[in-house]
Amino acid sequence: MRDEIELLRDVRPHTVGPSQEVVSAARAALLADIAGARRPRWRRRHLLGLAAPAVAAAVAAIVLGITLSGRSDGQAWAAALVRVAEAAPRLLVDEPGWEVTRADEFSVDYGEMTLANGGQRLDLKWLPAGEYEDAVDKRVAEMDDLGTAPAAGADARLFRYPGTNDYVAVWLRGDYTVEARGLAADADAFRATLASLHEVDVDTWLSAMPESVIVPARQAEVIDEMLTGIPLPSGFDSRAISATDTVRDRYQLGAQVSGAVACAWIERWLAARDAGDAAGIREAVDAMATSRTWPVLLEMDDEGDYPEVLWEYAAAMATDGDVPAGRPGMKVGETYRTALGCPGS
Amino acid sequence: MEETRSDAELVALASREPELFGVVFDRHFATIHRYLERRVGRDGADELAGEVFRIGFEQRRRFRPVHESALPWLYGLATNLTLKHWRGDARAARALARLRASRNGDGGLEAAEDRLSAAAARTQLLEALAALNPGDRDVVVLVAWEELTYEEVAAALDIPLGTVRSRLNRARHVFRELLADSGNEPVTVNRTPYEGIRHEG
Repeated sequence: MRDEIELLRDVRPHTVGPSQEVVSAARAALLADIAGARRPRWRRRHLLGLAAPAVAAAVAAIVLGITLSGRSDGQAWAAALVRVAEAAPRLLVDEPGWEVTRADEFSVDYGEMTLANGGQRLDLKWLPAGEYEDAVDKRVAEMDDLGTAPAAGADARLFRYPGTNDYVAVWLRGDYTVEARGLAADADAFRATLASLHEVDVDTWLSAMPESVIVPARQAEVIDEMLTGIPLPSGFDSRAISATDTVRDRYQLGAQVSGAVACAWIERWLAARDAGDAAGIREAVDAMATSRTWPVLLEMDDEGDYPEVLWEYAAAMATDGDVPAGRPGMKVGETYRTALGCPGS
Repeated sequence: MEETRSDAELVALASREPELFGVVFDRHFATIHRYLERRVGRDGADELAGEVFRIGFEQRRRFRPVHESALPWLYGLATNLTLKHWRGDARAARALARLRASRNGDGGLEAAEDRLSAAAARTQLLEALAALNPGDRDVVVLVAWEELTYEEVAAALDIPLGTVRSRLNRARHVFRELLADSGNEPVTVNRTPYEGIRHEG
């Protein structure tokens, strides 16, 4: 008699497979991530841009490692940043030596941060409360169930990966599912760390972040300075940058300024190609070719990969070649808005 | 020029040359989509398959090159997403049981009597599959439908090889008990061709 598992092969459901549209959409989304990965500090902004703009700005401030300080000298937190902090579980370990060493993928709905104390480490994650059941079910199926343990005023479900000292606690806190994961000598040691987790006020929590962010004061002035040495398309309005800008660190502002100019030139170039306007094509290509010497990009070059991406687009325009980080045949017009973070994209 | 490097090499190199991950996408997107289609239906597969690769790209530094192929790892990521997709086991079980409807219309070359018999057998099997606990079902599906080796399943689900075997054994017992409780003779199913996707590695 055939084995039951073999019999199951006979009832494997028929599949249709992905449509070309689905493949293309999935590939485009992945390519956007890939393009972003080449300039890590910039990438997050696009990922987070899916959130509401105000929140995304606040999130970007943290994720990008932009300056979060300023509270000590009387400057207020950005309102959007405070809204994120007010919503999310603000957990810290109430023991000497523990500090936040990482805070990324950070938003109202989902967030991750790592707290560490020397060799000890605790990864905290928050996600919507609706995911609690799945989170627990998955652990029940795969891990040792160690019962419950107090964590930040809640009863957490406690689990251990079989045969390891890798522990996970899961609990509900208001609208959130919270997970804490860490290595510990034994379950009691992990319980002790969990017991020292506590919620703090917004300012304390934000102050504990590893980097700082500040609301800029001289934005328009800095934008003008950054535009120095850059050929601008006729009719380019630098005020549009400040009107839409929500990210306040110099690198990010530089990316927005140089990106706005580059996007404008690329749009001119695409339009000129469509119109068969050879002079227009040449003007845009020549302007972008000067990007190698744009002061703002040279300044940013040591700090991240945004300049490199922009330069690769300039080179692709000059040869009408394929864009970098894309599949063979992928042209400038298909990806520039996402890759460069053009206004409105 | 066709890329000849293995997935393991490409994923490792993608830390420095991220665009190489696009090759992994091209190689395996359709396979992962079909797997998800079997698990959560076509709409769900459309929704989740791209996410598998985006998550894979994000987590590429965590890839352990146990196999030359990235498929086991991608299957694992996809399996995790199905857990998120289905809110609760009951919904997943109902959906899985419904899959029988998609099969009953097949087999046009079979005689009507055989078709009735085959349909009943499929129903038994799929309902038994739906009754498994989620961890056991993942193993069974990866072995039976995706034709992964036990080692590949262990890599996909990040569980020891012994756990794969024990889950399969447990599943077999559940199958036998459920089928015995149904009062039917052990099922026999006419073997029908299916779209074979044999995975390398």
